[in-house]
Amino acid sequence: MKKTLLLFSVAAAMILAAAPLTEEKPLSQLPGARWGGTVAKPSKGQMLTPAKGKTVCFTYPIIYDESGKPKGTSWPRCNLSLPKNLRDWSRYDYFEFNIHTTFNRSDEEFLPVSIGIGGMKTRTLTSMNINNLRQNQWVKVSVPLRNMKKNELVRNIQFHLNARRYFPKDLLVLHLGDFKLVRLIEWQVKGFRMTAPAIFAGRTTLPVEFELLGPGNRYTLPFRIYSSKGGKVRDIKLTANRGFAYHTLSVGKLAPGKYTLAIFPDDKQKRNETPFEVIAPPWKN
Amino acid sequence: MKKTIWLAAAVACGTLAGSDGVFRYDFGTDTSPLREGYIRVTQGKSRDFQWRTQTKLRSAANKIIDSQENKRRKSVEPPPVYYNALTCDHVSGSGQAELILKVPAGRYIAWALCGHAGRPSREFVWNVQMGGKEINLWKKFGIRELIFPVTADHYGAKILIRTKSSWLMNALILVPEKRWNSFKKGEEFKALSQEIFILPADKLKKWKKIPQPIIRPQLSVKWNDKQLKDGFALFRRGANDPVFPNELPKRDEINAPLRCFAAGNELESLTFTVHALKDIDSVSLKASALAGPGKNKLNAPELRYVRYMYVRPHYTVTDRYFEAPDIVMPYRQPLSLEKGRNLRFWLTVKVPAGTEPGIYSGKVTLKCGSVTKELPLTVKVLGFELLRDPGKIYSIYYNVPMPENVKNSPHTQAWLNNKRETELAGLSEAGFTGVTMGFWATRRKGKDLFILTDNFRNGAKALVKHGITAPVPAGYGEGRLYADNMKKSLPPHLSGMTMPNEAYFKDVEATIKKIFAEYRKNPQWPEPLIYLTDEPDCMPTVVAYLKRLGEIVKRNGGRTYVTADPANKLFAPLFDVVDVWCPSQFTLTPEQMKAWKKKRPGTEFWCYPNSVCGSNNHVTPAGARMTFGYGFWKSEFKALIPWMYQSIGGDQWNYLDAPRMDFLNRTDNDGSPIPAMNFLCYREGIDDARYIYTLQNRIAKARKAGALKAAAEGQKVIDDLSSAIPAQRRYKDHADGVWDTGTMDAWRWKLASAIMKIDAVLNSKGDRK
Repeated sequence: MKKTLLLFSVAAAMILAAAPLTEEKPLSQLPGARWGGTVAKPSKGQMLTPAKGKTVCFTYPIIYDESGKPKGTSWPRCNLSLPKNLRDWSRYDYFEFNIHTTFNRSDEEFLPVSIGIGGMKTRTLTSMNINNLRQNQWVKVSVPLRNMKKNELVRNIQFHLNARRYFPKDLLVLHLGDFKLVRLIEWQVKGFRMTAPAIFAGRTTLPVEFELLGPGNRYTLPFRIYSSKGGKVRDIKLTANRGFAYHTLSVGKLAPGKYTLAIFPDDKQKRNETPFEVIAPPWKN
Repeated sequence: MKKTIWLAAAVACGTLAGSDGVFRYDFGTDTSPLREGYIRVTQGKSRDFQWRTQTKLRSAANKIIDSQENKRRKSVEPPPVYYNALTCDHVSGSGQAELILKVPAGRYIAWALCGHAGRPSREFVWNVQMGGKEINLWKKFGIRELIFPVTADHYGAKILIRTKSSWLMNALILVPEKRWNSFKKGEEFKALSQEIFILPADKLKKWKKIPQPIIRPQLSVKWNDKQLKDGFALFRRGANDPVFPNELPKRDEINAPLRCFAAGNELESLTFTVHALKDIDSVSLKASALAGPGKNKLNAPELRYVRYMYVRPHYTVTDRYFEAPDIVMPYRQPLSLEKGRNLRFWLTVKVPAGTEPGIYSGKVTLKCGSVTKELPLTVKVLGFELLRDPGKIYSIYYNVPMPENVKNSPHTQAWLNNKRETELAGLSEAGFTGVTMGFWATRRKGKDLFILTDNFRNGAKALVKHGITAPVPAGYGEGRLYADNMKKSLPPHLSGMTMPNEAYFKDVEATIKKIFAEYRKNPQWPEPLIYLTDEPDCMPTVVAYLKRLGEIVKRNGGRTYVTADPANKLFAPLFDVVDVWCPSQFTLTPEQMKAWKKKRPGTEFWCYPNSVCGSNNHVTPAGARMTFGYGFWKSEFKALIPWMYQSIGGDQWNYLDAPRMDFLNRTDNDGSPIPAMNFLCYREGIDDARYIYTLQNRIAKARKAGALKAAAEGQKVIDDLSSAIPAQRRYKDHADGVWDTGTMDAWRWKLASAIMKIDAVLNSKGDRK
């Protein structure tokens, strides 16, 4: 009985430790989507993704001309133009896909490939460097959509690299697949940061920033302040809108000392904390 | 009789032209564009005007263009300024002149526009004195207004123009005095001001005014009865946190006390803001000296206020702008304030070395309309002086004014001399120890190699006088020598360049030899670091070219400097010929730099932190302070050298003209500097670093004296600080983990407290083991 309970607990813990609940919209099978490219021409990928999905392959040969300039263009790129029914990304939090890299040089210090999301009106809605490519490995890439204008439709997704940062005769081959849009349907906070790790006593607010993701438009978040000995000092609530924002958290008066600020203090999965110090000021009052 | 007829005719014509009682004059040539409804004024005479002068008058016109070609970048760009019929032309003179305008007798207000000369190419400062006012016009572009009363008698209105060099006038409007206030609030004045000082209406239409980037949530504020009755509220925010024009204060900022702490040998800024709850015609400020312990005093703080400017989100953008806090202007006279807007005052207290520690108290008297408020001002002077770390360099890209090169204009010479003296004094006071200069070699008339060693000599003398003695990245004349030898220009960033011929490398070698021969004769000069090139491409031809240049410099005993990223492996062939690497971010970690120096001792790593110089964002004051202080210290780089002290495209007071936006410091009428907010935040960062160095100095002293406990406690503060500062390649804004002012000040106080604690131990001779 004990063994069964233990196994059940482990299984439950594993389930609980799983990724947060999401709603996903796959873009992999894309009727009407068109791939195009400059220098890097797309072709049907020879390998399948970890999820057994089809891939598109881009081969980037870096060729220099006699003057020492990259031939053709310094920014070889490939892009995916989206059909009308797949242009509305306003409900989603992330654009995700898997990417496999093969590079002719054995050192793995790849220079980044960049991804840009283009809009119907705005040339680039958001962009990001993909810094975590690994030789002969699949890597999941998650592009946050928080900086994109919510009311603008997406026209295309573009991958490009700066050929000037590569040696002549370098060859980079990318396989891409498992494209999807993701929305978290369980409240989550990403990128929690507090940019005042030291404050004078007498100051009653702390600047915090985070991205709030989840099923609705607003959510009341729990915070807690702990003393340096781990004891609870006070609980605070902050109601925030979905999305990224800077907030001013009212923390009340705190005596000089070291503290910890925690968000989701009672949720082991979501909890995040940051230390800060309250310093006796130069002034008496 | 003739005189009477002439006068009657003149008045009649004047009346026709000024049929609404306002007389409008457009100065220029006989054929230059004439603004509709304006009377043409040339250097001659007509029935509308007459000149009386002993000196020769001239008139000139510039072409009105919508764009210009940039041959080097192979692009079409906006012109430096958008001329219109009024501003493209002018009348000028080199001595006193009197202009008589044939207008009916009466009292007028004159609105004169002077500037945008478009010439000469050499350094020259126009000087215009009218109506008891004086303006200096430096550079080819820049237009100013003079507003002054004029009384017309039966001969007309007489305007006396004086000058210390040459004067010029583009346009003049005479408005009956009684109508001046309504004219100033009217459409004509507003439209003309926008056209001349911002952009013409058709150009401005193509720009979009975007929201002010206020990142703090704008919570509504409930004003109390007193604030509503007074018509304003006061609030205080850290000097390194911007206050946007319409931003609301946070609750804990309202009526926050005006106080700071400072060590000896420190300048400290305090700010407070007036938020108008109704239109206020006049806001004035006075500050008293501060009385301290015994009979000690601190001088009254310097008074400035923050000017809002239209800025672009990046210096290359040509279609978007927003209103941002930018230049910290000298406060000289009362200001007006519209309802809903902010006026931020910026006070700077100077605490000289040797000031007795203690509390110094004074007051600031603010008058808004009819309401006067006295605000207590408190400075806590600490009992130690800030030291400077001799191992660090704060340098800046800077065009050293050269009055020595000016011929035939004593006024221009004097003005440029004042510019140089006051700018270098300001740099030194802020903590800067280095600037850039150049030798700018060229083949004069295609024959002799000419190197501007005199420029360097004169510049070096001025630098040394102000204690600016760090090695100077010095251009040797790469562009000119390349063009002289190759008959074409070097492409931007050397991208796609053709390897130059041997004659070019011979010229370079001759130039380098000469430079170091001069330097050996003048050991008091700051060391010239030969600036190989700027932000080069990393293609093989470019790298091979730079390698040759580097070898030339090294075999002639010099050191080399290049603005390139040593982390880029494509630059590997240069590792043995570059002495000073200068990327735009902290691209190497302290461990990587240590490993590098083991193989190549003597290599230095500098950084040009352009993310906080204003070129890509004018509103990064917290980032500016953190870059120059805590971030720079954490990086362990040797030097910071932002580009650049002052960048001016067209008119220095207009950031929407010219192909690229201006940034950083401006110049006052007398040539002295007007700092940008970011620049003042550099100084605050430099002071943060000085607090750190002063504590490290004390820790070393404590160890030497055997006060090990005190030393260990001090070291703990240093270690905690190091852990708290996020390791970043740059410290631009919140996304890079930049702290707010409160945190930077709190850490500074921690450092100060640790310094005073060690001093107390050392002075008491306690804690010795």
